[in-house]
Amino acid sequence: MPEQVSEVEALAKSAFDQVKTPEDLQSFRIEFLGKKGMITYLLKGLGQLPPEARREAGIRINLLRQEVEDLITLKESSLGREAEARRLEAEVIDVTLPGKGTPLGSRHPVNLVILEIKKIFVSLGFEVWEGPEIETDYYNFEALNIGRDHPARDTQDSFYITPDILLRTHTSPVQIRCMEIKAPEVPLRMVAVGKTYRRDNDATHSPMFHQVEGLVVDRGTSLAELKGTLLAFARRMFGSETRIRLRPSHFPFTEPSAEVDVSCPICGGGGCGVCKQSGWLEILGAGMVHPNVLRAGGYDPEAVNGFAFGMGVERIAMQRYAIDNMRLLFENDLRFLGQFR
Amino acid sequence: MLVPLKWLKELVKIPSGVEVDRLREDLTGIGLAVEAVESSPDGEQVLCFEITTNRPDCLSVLGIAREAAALYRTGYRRPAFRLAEGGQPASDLAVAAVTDAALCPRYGARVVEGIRIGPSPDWLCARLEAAGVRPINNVVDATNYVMLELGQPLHAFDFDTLAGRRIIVRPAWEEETLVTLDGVERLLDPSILVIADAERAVALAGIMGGLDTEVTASTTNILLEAANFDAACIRRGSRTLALRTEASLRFEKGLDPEQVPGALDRAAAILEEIAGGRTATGIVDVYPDPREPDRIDTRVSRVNGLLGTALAGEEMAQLLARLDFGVEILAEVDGTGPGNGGAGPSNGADRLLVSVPSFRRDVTLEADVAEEVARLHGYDRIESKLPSGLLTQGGLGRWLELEERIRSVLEGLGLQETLSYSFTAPDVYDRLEIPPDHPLRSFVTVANPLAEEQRAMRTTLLPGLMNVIMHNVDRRVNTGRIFEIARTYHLKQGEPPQRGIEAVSERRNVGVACFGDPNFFELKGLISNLLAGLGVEGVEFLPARAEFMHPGRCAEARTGGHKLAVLGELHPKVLRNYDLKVGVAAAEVYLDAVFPVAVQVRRYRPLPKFPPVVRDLALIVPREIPAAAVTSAIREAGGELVSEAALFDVYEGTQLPPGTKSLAFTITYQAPDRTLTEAEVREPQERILKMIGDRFGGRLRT
Repeated sequence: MPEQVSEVEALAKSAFDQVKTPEDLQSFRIEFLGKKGMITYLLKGLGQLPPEARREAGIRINLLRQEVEDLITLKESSLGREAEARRLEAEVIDVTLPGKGTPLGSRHPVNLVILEIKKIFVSLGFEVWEGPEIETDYYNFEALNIGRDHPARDTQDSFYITPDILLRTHTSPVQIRCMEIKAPEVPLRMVAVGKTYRRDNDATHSPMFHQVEGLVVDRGTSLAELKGTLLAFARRMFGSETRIRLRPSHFPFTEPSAEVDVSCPICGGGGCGVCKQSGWLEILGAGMVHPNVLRAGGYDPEAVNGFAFGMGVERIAMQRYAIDNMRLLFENDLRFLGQFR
Repeated sequence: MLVPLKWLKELVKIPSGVEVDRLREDLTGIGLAVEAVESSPDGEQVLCFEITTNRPDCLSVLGIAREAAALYRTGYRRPAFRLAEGGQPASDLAVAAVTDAALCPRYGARVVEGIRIGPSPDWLCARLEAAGVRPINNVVDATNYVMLELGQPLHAFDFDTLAGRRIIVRPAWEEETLVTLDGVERLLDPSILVIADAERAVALAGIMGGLDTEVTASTTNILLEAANFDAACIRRGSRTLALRTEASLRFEKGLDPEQVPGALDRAAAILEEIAGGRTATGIVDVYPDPREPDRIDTRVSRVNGLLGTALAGEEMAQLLARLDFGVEILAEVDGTGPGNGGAGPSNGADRLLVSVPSFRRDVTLEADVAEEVARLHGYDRIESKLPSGLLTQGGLGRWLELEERIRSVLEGLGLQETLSYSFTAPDVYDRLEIPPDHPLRSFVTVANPLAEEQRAMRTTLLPGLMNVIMHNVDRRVNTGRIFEIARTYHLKQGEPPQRGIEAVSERRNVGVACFGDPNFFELKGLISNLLAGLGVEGVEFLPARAEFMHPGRCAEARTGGHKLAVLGELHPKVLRNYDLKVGVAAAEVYLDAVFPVAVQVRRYRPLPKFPPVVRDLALIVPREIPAAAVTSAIREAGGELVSEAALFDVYEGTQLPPGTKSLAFTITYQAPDRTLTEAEVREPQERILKMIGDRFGGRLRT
């Protein structure tokens, strides 16, 4: 019996070496472990042995069976891996073919800029307000210290609906509407965003355009705080190295007033085509709210100060995306809009 | 305003070492924006200023010189000249009267006789040309020269043409006419101020002279006028007549009446020099009510509070004095009242009594004084600090958050956002086949549009979307999906526009369009995704009609009785009206209706704990029965065990009886508290089939 076991063991080892495919492995399994297999045969023969030999042979045969089973398991997994590898090789695809599904849409560049501006001011504690686009002369002009015969009306040539109703020429009327609701509460920090209208149409003007306007009313706020706020805005909007420059100017609704330039984010102030070699971009108008305007809003100019600022969104969008003609913003060519995904 | 640098340097000493670039920057820094430095025809440097409307005094070389002197602390001088007036007093030769001193606070005139009209000397011509003014003859040139130099417009009349040698400043008569220097006959009315002689109007006050009394080659005696007019009056007249001149541009901003005599003297002296004139003695001067200088009681603490500075009263006084303000420092300490505005402690004087020079009529308030202090102190020397007040809670507000959410959803669904004008052509409502009296025709009209196609404020976003489609198809971009979030503007029905702003309402819409070869269901998918993305629940799409839509392919989206949107394929006749060769499916979503039903924060519904039983059911029903009706019948008959009834196939064809269609549903049965058995599902399944038979005459497809 021990000889037979050794013989089967040797046979199994040489037969296993010949196993190359899953089919070989199956034949191998049947040959040795099947119902009529050699190891099965040996096990069946155990009964005929004397008890003392049976025990020893039993241990040997079972060890052999275990060994063969382990070999089969190992071989199975290695053959499986190889087969899978071959299958995957055959499943090669052209990964350069285009992807599926709807291409991403896009947002209008003007609204992208508005969103950025809104986010910055919201993070600085400003509420975003809106107001009517069809406005009364009172809110658009009178309450903002622009009387009937004020020369500033020339630079804001308006679209009229009736002699007393017009398309708002700036977002400033929202300041008044907001103050009327909030006064005498302080601090008031708001920005107004929206469409505005003036009778202008050329490469740098559109009869409809967008403004963002800001207003802060508080006890003890000052031109210094206006500068700080606008510097914080400019650095978030145009980069942390940005500088701002205030130049005295004149607006009927602020006193003192300033034009605010931002160091050119393209050249950093050295001069380039975008800033017309000046190193600065004119972005904002600003100032301390005129006492008459505070009064129109319901605040006491002796008790509080206010600062306000305003900017044209299209100009910032054009500068930001290097767009040279404002008309592109309103033509809505999908090949242009598709660039703002 | 063009200022030749040499001319400026005659009136102010610019420190050596200040080159033109530095000068440009420095002047810009105190509020006199130098837009460019150009070169005159004969190679002189010319500064191009953009002067703000509050500073008419700086529309002159002298005005700029005063500012430069304040800036560099060098002092300025008025132009030097010698006037050899003599002979008969001017007041014997001419008489002037003003009917309303409010409209003409001062009228001054000189008489210059024995003039020889001719060209001006080269130096004068060159200087005028450098300043952008065309030389005409020595008399006109002298008046222009003085206007540029001192900021006071002058006018020269041919004295011998003035009837009665008399000047009357009065409102024009009704229907009075005047032929102005430019040869145009102008019809006047009493809102326009004129200079008249004894018989008729001879000039538009502050705007332009008349042709009849103009200086000509044969003129020998002139009446030289320098006056001061009410700014608003000149501005209105200039607007009424649509006539703007160098003179009116200055007068309408308000000039200094005190500069009248100096300007007359200067002009007469030049005429003596270049035209051989003899100036009659004295000035005819109608100035009944000389204005006292304004005094502004200024609190140092208030100025510091406004600026965020800590300047001493003496420092402010020095800055103001450099700008020709008179300053009296009041020793009394006023305390730091509520006007202090949180400024730091002010040491010394807290009040300044500031007298405003006559040429600075723009300065009337403490805040104006603060600006003068700030700009000369230097805006750049004011520190930058973030607001120190209480924190505030910023936010977009729910409306703008909703709009941002819409943008995210539609961008994700592959739509491109467009932006079009709020105004449109009135005839788009015809192109869209919108019938007369339809509410969409109640549009707000712009009285003075730039073009006819911008006259009507839009009542729907469709015209904008159509323009975008036209523009793109013209450029061979033949397919696309677009949207726009914008307002529409409506005249409330039955309200006349005279009713004022209350007659107008603004609504918020989203317009969506697919063009190319779209079908209704592509659009419906977008709109239902959008509404789902906004958290709107229970949305139903019901067949609807709209004049501009395909009558069989138009729907309304509704929830709880609110109309949320209209959507459909555009009617072929609308496409023909636009001459469009591609199809369009478009929707308008009414945000005012969506806003109240949009859900910001959703509530979680517990997930089922027990497995469902799923049954597919193909039903044959008459072709005209809407699928939604069958779906609701299934839910109704199936009862609460039906958790979902999803349509997965629609079939019409030869395998079915004519006039019928097959609708295949997957029905999910689910109980919250147990695993359903076959037997439990059989009963609702039978009820469903019975309902389909009873209600629609339908049956199970086998």
